[in-house]
Amino acid sequence: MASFIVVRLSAVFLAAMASGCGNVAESPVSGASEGDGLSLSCVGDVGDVNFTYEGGAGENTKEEAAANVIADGAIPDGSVTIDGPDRGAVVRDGAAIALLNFEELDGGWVVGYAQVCQ
Amino acid sequence: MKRQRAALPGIMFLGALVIGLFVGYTVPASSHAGSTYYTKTWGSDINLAFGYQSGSLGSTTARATYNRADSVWNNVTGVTVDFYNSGSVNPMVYDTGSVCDVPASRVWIVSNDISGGGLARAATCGSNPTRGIVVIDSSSRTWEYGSDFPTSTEWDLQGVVTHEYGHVTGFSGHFPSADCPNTALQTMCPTLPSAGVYQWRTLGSHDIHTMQNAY
Repeated sequence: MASFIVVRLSAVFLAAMASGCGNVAESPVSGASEGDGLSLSCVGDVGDVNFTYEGGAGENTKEEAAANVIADGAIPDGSVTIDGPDRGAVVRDGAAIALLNFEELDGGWVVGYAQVCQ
Repeated sequence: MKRQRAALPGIMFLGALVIGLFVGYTVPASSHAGSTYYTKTWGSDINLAFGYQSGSLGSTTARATYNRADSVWNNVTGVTVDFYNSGSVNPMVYDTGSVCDVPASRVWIVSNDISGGGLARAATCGSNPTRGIVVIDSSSRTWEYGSDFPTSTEWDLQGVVTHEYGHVTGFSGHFPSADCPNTALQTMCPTLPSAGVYQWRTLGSHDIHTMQNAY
């Protein structure tokens, strides 16, 4: 049952990613139970941000990886939420302003690419 | 006769292995197709201006280093790259923005504490990037900012910036480990092996032919 829910949530999020930020998408986020009303509205489509990394491992957590590229100025600032094994979002005022795709790097986590929505 | 037949697959395997070893040591120039390692993002001329932060990354010494880094790409035969100093300090106002808000044909060089131990990273906007940022690690790492060769405890800013410029002009990834038995010899190999290594300042044969294949 748990596996089914995870698969279903991931499918919803992937569909949101595939549809592009230009569309309003509803995507349950980490810590939210299905049907609790929490959703991400991703408005606008600024562009995809691609990252490359030199030397060293990734961060210990996905949250740290996201915080680091926010500190770079590469993606807009907001609260970070994790959705599924390799997805996440930067959220401000209840809306996703960037969708994140995490990748493993030498045992740590990095943001491989992001979709900036605002 | 049966024994000969049984030995045949083993002999063929060994033969293939020997041939594979020889082939593996010689990577033909045509092997690094632009479509795989380098996304051609510019019609003909690459035209990027870099800006920089105030402080160490904006010092006269560092700016001269950026000029040396861009010159190695500018000098690739057959590719017109015009990578130049914008002469401006970049505005570090990113609260609501992203790399996609960097002006077109600009690259900002910025610093950040890359706590995971990385040297640097690059971010570009869009599948046809004309804007980006280069992030240099500002942790306790010691950098050689100028033209002197780094000591055994200093990391080479010029070589690392040369590598990052490769990414912002179009190298979407790194060469595979098979092509990087010594990661210092090709600038677009994934990892600079240690402090004190400065070979990334000069492009390797793979760096050059990959870019030429793309253009």
